[in-house]
Amino acid sequence: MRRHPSQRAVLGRLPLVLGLTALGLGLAPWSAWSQDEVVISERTGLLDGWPCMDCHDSVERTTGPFTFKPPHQRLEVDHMAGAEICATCHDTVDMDRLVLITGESISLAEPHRLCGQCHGEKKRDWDVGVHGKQVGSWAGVAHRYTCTDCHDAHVPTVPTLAADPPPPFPRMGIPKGGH
Amino acid sequence: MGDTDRRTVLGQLLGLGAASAVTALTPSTAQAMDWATFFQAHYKELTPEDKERVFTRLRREALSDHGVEIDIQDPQPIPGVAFAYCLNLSLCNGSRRCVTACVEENNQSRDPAIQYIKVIELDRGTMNLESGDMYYEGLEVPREGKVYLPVQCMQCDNPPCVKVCPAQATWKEDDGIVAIDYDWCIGCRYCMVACPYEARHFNFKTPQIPKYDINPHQALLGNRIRPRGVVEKCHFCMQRTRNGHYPACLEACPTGARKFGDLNDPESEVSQILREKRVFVLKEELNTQSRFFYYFD
Repeated sequence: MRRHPSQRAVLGRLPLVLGLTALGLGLAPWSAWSQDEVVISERTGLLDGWPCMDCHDSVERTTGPFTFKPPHQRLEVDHMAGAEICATCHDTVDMDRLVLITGESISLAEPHRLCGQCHGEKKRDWDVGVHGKQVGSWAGVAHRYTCTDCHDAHVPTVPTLAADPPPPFPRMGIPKGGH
Repeated sequence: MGDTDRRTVLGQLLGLGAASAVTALTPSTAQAMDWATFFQAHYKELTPEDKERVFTRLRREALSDHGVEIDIQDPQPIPGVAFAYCLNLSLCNGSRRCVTACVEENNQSRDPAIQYIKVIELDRGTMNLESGDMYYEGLEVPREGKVYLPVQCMQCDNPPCVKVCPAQATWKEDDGIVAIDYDWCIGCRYCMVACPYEARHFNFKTPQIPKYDINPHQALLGNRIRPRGVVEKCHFCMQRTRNGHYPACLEACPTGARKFGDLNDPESEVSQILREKRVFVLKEELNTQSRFFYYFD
């Protein structure tokens, strides 16, 4: 396509203009105080007995309902009632990895992609830092916890905790219902 | 500060006349309240050299009173940043981890105990604060049928505490934090009466903090060890947040219920929550224009 000379001049200078704009943005005072980077929690290797392929390389891979055989006999599953099939989430070819419903094999470090298939609303919130824990810096590098940092994938309800001690009751205070 | 503080000296000046004041200011009785401290200007009038002298004094006091070497700074509001806090009440499980972290971060007195955050246990389905319980104990929280409402300073945009202060010892900073000049507070406690959230606390006694629990990273208007006879409250952990970090209570929360950030950044967590969630503030009818938002999701 033949361009007007002035158009060509503008296009020719485009890299320079873009470069200067980027430089300007980089130097703008507020740019230093927006979130630079979010590092997602690394889960690989945190599981007991990982890598799974140490054992599962040589055992029969089941795709049916889980039979609680050692060393998983104490594994409790309270999730997706009626559809507790290992292969729904675990890659049966490479047991160190997870699998999406599309058949794509993903790392254990990306459970959000797996959980987000059903829990889309939470995933949408998590993607922007609204659901889930995020520590570090609001203005620099933040560390975002992923699903399995807080939720046991097999029993996702977060367990109860012991509360830290309450403030001391005032010396002259009257307890509730005491008057 | 030692046994003689600004209030005592002011009282003596007003009540007993100049002679007794001079007595109070002699080195033998006024160990910590020296002339420089007594005539220290309001925070807003301090020059950098003045501040350096204040830092030197505070470092000296921390060393002599608590045996701790502190790193004290005066972080300034970041231009263009407006802080806000959001708290997801659906997630809060009442574990009080935020309270513990806050006490440790902000050098709050352990005895008598001062805690900036109160976690109120409410019956599910009610928001009646009068029927709430802030002294609940539990080995297993959250308890069935309860919700938990943490309350702390709301950093109001229309702060009643600032309006009533007769000494202008508390004011609103540019980033939204309501700050207190601990050296200028006269301890009249008007602000405590004015605050509808009971967010302010008074140091009736010299704060007692075990030596090894003192956080040495301190800010002049923030978490420095307070003298007796002054009011203190949550300041959004300014020693952390003005240096880009999240507040201590947020980092301690086990459920991720707490979110903090810059309202002026449309991509920040708080901005997204205000856009997407149905947020509310406590005691909205009082027009305090709180910067602390609650929501269920």
